[in-house]
Amino acid sequence: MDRLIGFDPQLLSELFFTAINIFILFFGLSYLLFNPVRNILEKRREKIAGELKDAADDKKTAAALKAEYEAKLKDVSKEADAILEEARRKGKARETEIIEEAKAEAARIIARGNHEVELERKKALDDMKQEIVTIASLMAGKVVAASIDTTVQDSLIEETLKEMGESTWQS
Amino acid sequence: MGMMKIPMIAREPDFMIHGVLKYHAFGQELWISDTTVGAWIITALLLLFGFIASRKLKTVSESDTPGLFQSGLEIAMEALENMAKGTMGANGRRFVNYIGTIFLFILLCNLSGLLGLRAPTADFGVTFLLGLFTFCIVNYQGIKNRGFGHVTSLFQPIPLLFPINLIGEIANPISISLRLFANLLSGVIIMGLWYGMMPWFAKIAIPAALHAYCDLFSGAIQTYVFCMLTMVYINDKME
Repeated sequence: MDRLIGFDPQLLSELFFTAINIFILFFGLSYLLFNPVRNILEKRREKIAGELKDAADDKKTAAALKAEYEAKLKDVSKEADAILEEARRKGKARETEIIEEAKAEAARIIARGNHEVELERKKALDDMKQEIVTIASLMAGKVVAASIDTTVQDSLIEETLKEMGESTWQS
Repeated sequence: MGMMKIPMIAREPDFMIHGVLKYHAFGQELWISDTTVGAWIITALLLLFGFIASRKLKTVSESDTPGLFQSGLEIAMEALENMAKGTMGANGRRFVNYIGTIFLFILLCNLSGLLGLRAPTADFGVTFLLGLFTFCIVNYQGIKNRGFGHVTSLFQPIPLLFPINLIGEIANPISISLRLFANLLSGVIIMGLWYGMMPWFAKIAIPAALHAYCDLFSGAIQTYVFCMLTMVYINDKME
């Protein structure tokens, strides 16, 4: 059989075989190739859409959290300022207290020092008085040893001292 | 005076469809032709490819990065879907499988000349069947979407035009099947004549250019044209 084209039963036979071919090919390729590839693409499309939605939701949540944290940070700053202010105030008060205490302590030390100086001065005066009395009595004793006795000598010295007065020694 | 036979050419040009196997049906002597066998080979190759693709895709998990093979399939599928959606809009989705099937079948049939087969699409028995499928789908969609209006539309805008409208409808499958058939047959004839009539040195290198035009270029263009026209005809009946 050699032919190019013909409208005869042979054409119908070829139509029949081609139809079977195309049917098998259509169902075979749909099952094996087209549907699986399309499913993969569809699943990926859904996955990407889901991930984009999740990303958008996450972004929204993150923005809300950021706003919340920023607000909190502002409060924290205010709180820190308040704490610093309080600390400063307390520090100032403590400073004043310490200075006052130091002043009081210094005053006490000065007073005690003055008192001790006074005591020392009194002691020195007494000692000096005693020394002068001893020296005077020695000198007088030597001067008048020959002329007057001891009783006269003592009364003379006492008299002399009384004449000089207390104020003379203290000045 | 007896005729002298002078061997002018190496062999007779051959671009005919040949019978491969004879059988009888309905009291007729019929043949299984070489184009039918070619179509079977192409169908088998496509199904084998589909089988391999299916096996590979079954092992793919969603989180995997697609490999070269999978990416190629996805790109081809998206191109097909875009072509269908571009012509048919949202309706295109339902016809992607059919358009994909005939696209691959016609393309491989057209390119089979490169493998030494006689292109099955250069047989009117193949292209007419494809045209008839288009015709059936078109009219099924017409009746499904318009109901009786599909028939009355033949009398629009005036009943006088009914014969012209009818011829217009019937001409569609014939025109697209003849277009594909004639384009491919012309390629087959040109190649047959060239291989049959040219001296041996003309069969080196030069046929490559002819194959590039007749099989590759013309084959790819005609595949695209057939699929586009099928989609346009179907879409016409869906609006």
